[in-house]
Amino acid sequence: MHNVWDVIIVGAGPAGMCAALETTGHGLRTLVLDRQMEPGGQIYRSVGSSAMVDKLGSDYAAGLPLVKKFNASDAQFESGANVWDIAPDRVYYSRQGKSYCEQARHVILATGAMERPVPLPGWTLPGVMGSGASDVLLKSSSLLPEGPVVLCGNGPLILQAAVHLSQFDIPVAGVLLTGRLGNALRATKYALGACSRPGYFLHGVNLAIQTLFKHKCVFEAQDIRISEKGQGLEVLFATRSGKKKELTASTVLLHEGVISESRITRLARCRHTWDQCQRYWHVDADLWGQTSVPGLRTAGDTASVRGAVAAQAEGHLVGLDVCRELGSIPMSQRDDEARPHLRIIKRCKSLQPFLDEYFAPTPSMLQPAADAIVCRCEELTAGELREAINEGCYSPNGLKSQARPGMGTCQGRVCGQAVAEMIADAHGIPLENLPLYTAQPPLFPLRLGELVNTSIPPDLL
Amino acid sequence: MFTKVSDSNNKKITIYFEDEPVEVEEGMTVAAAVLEPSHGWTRTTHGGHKRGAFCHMGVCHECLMTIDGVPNQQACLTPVADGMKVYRQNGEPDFHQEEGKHA
Ligand code: FES
Repeated sequence: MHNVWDVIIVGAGPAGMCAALETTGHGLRTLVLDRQMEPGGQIYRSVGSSAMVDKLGSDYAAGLPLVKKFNASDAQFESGANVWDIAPDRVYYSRQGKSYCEQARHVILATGAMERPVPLPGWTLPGVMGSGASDVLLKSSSLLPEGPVVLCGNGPLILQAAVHLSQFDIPVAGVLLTGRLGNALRATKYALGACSRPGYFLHGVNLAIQTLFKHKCVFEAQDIRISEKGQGLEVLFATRSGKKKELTASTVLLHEGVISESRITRLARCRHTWDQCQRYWHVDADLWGQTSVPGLRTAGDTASVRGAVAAQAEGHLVGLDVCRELGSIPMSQRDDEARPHLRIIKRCKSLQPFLDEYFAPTPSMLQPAADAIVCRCEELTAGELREAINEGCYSPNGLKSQARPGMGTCQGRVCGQAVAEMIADAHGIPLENLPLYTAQPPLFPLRLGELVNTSIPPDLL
Repeated sequence: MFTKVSDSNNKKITIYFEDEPVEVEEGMTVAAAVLEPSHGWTRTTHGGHKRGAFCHMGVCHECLMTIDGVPNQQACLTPVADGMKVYRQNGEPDFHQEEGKHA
């Protein structure tokens, strides 16, 4: 008989930690797996050990008490655990070159989100990275690019990055904003909802003002391309009126919003929903995180990107309902304890349409220039892929067998969305009719020896 | 290329990047630790182009390196350890390294 957990939670970010606080708090044996070494997720990355806690403002510092509570809970935390397959009652993962399988009565997926990869010519050059990557380096290692830095993109996180850079006097050569000015107008119809979280809203306005006053900002920048210049990088772009300009940088940070990491829920064959405004797939789940697959729940940004505050509330709700389902609390107690979290979610949900509309991705940004490498792993350019698409390829999976995008080690995490956008555009197919690449186990390349030499009992393999 | 904006109290240890000793702080990932000495590139593609970590959170696989003799390791998910030997991965992974070519 193998050890069967009550609950396994994948992901120790805000949602996963809060779910674990509920399940362990109500006596359920809980295992939490995360790929990082410390709990916190990306938003509270390394907050338990970071030298930056006092310097990065209250949003980041808010993670510290949560991580402390989580560490003090009865949850068993496995760090450095890479989940490579999943079923409603079991999870397969690799840790330090060895694979394990753990069984549970219930599984909660709280794997969060990632930055939307938007291919540009030159985005593969060393020195170009996601602005989320720079954020991770700052939180976990107190590192910032020496500058000059050029920021390109759209979304609240790019403003946050710009403010961090100026806070530490890192020279910023320019901020190329790729969002459309017209979005602001469209977003005004949701302005009332934005007032549901006045503190958060004003914080955002403050970031925007600081960015605009401290840095050279370009609105509606387009045709961005990056190339090597001497020891550094050169960023070429066109302004709103089509004027060509250039900036010199040592580091370029890119960011085009955040999308749910859906590979794991797609692998589990959960039903997904297409978010038309922000253009990404996310798993379909009810208020209690129940997906279309019984026994499999989801919480936080995996189930739709709404940020850390909503993720924590969702984690609590999902945890509470799992406790109810497994019989450790009655329905009435679940409802009582859920109330404050439901209020938070309601407020977050009223703000979200404003943010989604304001920072909606610009369609032209999603159609890469012919010489941009789209599939980084297989080194395939948009031009090469369009040729195959125009020859008669109508789905990401089909293109995969025809031209090999998605066959690299990242298994299509980076190129999947871009490839779907290109096919949709070329053939005039609505993107919601084009499923992404099929997700298959193992979720990332495993060494054969690891499978041969596994601790997984043969009947579970 | 990158600069430290705050000091932590973490213990200093030594890793070897392409056989050169590098002093780093415990708790860092290999990808962060080699940013400086590697000039931001961690591997070359089969086409021979330089690449460096793009996401630093395990998504992009651009930071594949040979770590302690094992090729194809995601440097951004691997914590540094004293005496660790880290090499850039050039083109396809060289599985002979695993047999101790660099050991
Ligand atoms: S970018 Fe296409 S498979 Fe990795």
